[in-house]
Formats: sequence, structure tokens, C-alpha cells
Amino acid sequence: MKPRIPLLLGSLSAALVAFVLTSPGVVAADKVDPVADAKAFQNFFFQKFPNVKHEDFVNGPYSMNEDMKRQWQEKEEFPPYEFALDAGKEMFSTPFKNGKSYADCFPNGGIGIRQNYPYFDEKEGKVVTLELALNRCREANGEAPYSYVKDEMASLTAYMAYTSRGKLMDIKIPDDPRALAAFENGKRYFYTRRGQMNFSCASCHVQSPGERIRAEILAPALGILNAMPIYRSEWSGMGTTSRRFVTCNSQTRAVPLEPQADEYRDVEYFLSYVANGLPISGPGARP
Amino acid sequence: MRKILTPFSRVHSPDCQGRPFVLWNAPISAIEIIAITPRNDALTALVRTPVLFILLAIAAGLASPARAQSAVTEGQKLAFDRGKGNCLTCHVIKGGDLPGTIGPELKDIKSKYPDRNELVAIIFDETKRNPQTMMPPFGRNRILTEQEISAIVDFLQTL
Ligand code: HEC
Ligand code: HEC
Repeated sequence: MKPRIPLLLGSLSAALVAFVLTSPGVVAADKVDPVADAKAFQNFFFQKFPNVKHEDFVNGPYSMNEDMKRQWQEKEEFPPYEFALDAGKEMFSTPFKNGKSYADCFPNGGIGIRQNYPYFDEKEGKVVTLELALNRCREANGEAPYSYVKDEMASLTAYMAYTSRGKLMDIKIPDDPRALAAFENGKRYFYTRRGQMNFSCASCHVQSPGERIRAEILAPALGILNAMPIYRSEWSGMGTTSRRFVTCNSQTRAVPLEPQADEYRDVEYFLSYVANGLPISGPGARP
Repeated sequence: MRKILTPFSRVHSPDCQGRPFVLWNAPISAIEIIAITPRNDALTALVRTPVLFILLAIAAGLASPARAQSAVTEGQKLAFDRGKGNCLTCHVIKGGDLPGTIGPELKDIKSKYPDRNELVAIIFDETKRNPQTMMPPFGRNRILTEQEISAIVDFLQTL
């Protein structure tokens, strides 16, 4: 075909074709198989990066580049997220005005449980993330919810991740069609191209991990949430999972969703489930 | 088509219009972004897109092929500009700083693509050649105008 022809006719169907082609969800909607999906997902990365130790995938861009990894390991002696960790611990142990505390809202007093989030709540029929559960805890105890993209939330999740370091991601999908639908919806969101740049999450984190996008090295999608929340020098501060999703959407000129919108909860469910068996490494530090 | 589209229009927003440009890698406040960006209706965007592009494409076809030397300079500026082509995000290009590695180095372009229309087509919408490509459809999604693409092609031909 001559390039001129698609140029003239191109736009007529291009958008439709593009997203039909790049949306596996359309074809496979009736047979959701998370176990097979997770296996295929992990194998893809293990085969693409045979020299990366499986448990290292949870270190984002550092798993992809030896030089960077060395610099990071030096930095870990004085980790930049330390202040957030201290603040989070303090916040976590300070009672609410009603005398209760975060520990009352979570299994095991909230310690060492990060690997079980997000979970599917069968009463609500939706995915509940750790950030959401924390704000619900606050509201149930008469406190105002925190912003999902700011320091307080990052500090709390940093502390909860820290008490869970090394525990293996352990996300369950109950035998409930709504849970399967949430998983499938998250998967579809992840692979669907959107925005002016026409990227899907997978364009960057499945097709191109380890490549440089300008000066940044792209993290692999496998284990991409295990290190959350993260300190980023570019942000000169901490960022929650919500903040990272919103930022990835807006920096590629896609319309970000509200933090904790259903689709974001579902994509977190999908990404966490396919990382089952990989250790929690948060909080993380990034260049 | 409608049937397939409907469930997607919630999650998929090809929001080509009405968005202030967000420069890649620019520090942005998440809060601000959320406040100023109502979600677009995907269906409206898809329906409106084709007509405009066919018009644009025809207009470009009629334009004169002769280009001033200054177009090369202009093309380089557009290719390097983070708010425009931002080609350095993915390509090593002579004279540009901090290139990415997602695409191939852009060099010896004239020998590889002697026909400038081929280059126009790649920049306009590379998903035509390669549906899986990461390269954004600069023309189709109106990131660059026909004139801007043409200037960038002039620049590419000097590489
Ligand atoms: C055009 C590129 C691009 C797209 C599309 C993209 N991201 Fe990212 N993402 C980045 C860059 C750059 C970073 C920062 C460097 C890194 O850690 O990968 C990043 C980081 C992340 C991180 C933190 C990883 C870490 O360990 O630091 C998460 C989580 C993430 N992205 C999720 C997503 C999700 C979910 C989507 C889709 C909604 C998405 N990204 C779409 C480029 C992209
Ligand atoms: C987000 C990544 C990305 C951006 C931004 C990008 N490209 Fe590309 N480009 C690619 C990739 C990947 C390829 C490899 C071919 C493919 O994927 O189909 C490519 C291929 C090309 C080719 C063919 C090169 C060859 O040797 O065959 C040209 C020419 C080109 N790009 C020009 C540009 C120009 C000009 C810009 C900016 C206006 C640009 N690209 C922006 C990713 C990108």
C-alpha cells in the first residue's frame, strides 16, 4: 500500500481499528482466566529479561539498569523516604479524636498486611485499595479524609508497606463474577490506548521497560506497585499509587481519572494480582 | 460498531481536543490537572475526527512542495520542542540533548526514505505501518499540523 492512501483515508477508521486491535478484552471478555493471565504476564517478563532475578522486578527502573541500581543502593543508606516513614509511624499510632486508631480498622492491627491490598469486597461488589481503606477508616471515625495524592496518605501507606517488606504479594480473586469482571476491566484499562499520544499503560510498561523515555528508564509492569509509595526527586517528595496513575495519564496527555475511580481501583487489582508471589519492597526511592 | 464502543466509552477517552498541553516530564500538580479536565465523550471525539482530517490531508496535498531553507530550522525546532514533536523522547537525533531509546536513531533518513511522502505518512500515523508502534500519530491526533509535519520532514531529510 502506498503511504499516501492511508494518509487520506486513515482517520476514518483509525481510532476504531486501533482500539479494537489493542483491546484484548473485546475478544476475550467471556473467558476470564486470571491464573493463566498472571502466569503469561510473569513469563513474558522473565523471558524478556532472563538476567533479572525474579524478586528484583519489584524495584522499578532499578531492576533494568545495573549502574542505576548501584547508585540507588548507595542512596538506600540514607533513604529519602525516611521522613515520610517516621511521619507515617507517628500518624499511625496517634489515636483519632474518638480514641480509636487505624489499627482498629485493619486485620492484625494494620501491621504486615500491605501484600493483601487491594482486595475485592464482596459486600460492596468492588475493589478496595489500601488508600481507600485508610480514608474509609478515617471517615468511619469522624475524621476528614486525606487527599489521595498528597504527603499524609503517602506517609501512612509508606509505613504500612514498610511493616510488610519482603512479604509476597498475595491478592485473591474470590469466586464472584463481579471480582472477575473487575480484574478484566483493570486489564482492559491497562491495555487500552488513550489520549492524544495514543499510549496504553502497556505501551510504556510492557512494550518498553528498560528503555529510556528522555532521561527516564521505564519500569516493568511486573511488580510495578510493590514499591509504592515512592519518593521521587522529580516530585521532591512522596507519591502514592493514585498520584502515579494520575501523573502517567496526564503526562501522556490522556485525561486522568479521579483518584480511586473504579477503573483505577480495577487496574490496581489487575497489576497487583499478576505480581502475586513477588515481595513488597515499598516505600521506594526513585531518581 | 456502537455495540463494541459503548462499554469502552467510559474507560477510553481519545481526548484529542480541548486539553491544555502537558509537557512531558514537566512537574505537574495532580490536583490542578484533575480540577481542569472534565472527561471527554469518546464517541463525540471519534465521530468528529475523520472529517477534519480528510480536509486537512487534502489541503496538504494541494500545498506546494517547494520549501524554503528556513523550514529546516523550523523543523528542527518543532522536532526538539517538548510541546510539539518531542521526537527526542524516543529517538537519538544529531544536535539534540537527552534522547530516549524507544525508537531507532534518526539518521541517513534520505537514503532510507527517498520519498518524502513516506516520512509524512510515518509522522502522520505510524500505526498504519505498525499497529503496535509506540510512536504517537502526530497528524491523526492533531499533535502537529500538516505544515509542521512538512517542516519536520525537511529537517529529517538533512540527517
Ligand atoms: C509514555 C509513557 C508512559 C505511559 C503511557 C504510562 N507510564 Fe507509568 N511511568 C512512566 C514513566 C516515565 C515513569 C517513571 C519512571 C519509571 O519508574 O518507570 C512511570 C512510572 C510508573 C509507576 C511507578 C513505577 C516505579 O517503580 O517507579 C507506575 C505504578 C506506573 N507508571 C503505572 C502506569 C499506569 C497504570 C499507566 C496507565 C494508566 C501508565 N503508567 C502509563 C511512563 C509511562
Ligand atoms: C513515544 C515514542 C516515539 C516518539 C515520541 C517518536 N517516535 Fe518515531 N518511532 C518510534 C518507534 C518505536 C519507531 C520504530 C518503528 C515502529 O515502531 O513502527 C519509530 C520510527 C520512526 C521513523 C522510521 C525510522 C526508520 O529508521 O525506519 C521515523 C522517520 C520517525 N520515527 C520519526 C519521528 C519523528 C519525526 C518524531 C517526532 C515528531 C518521532 N518519530 C517521535 C517511536 C517514537
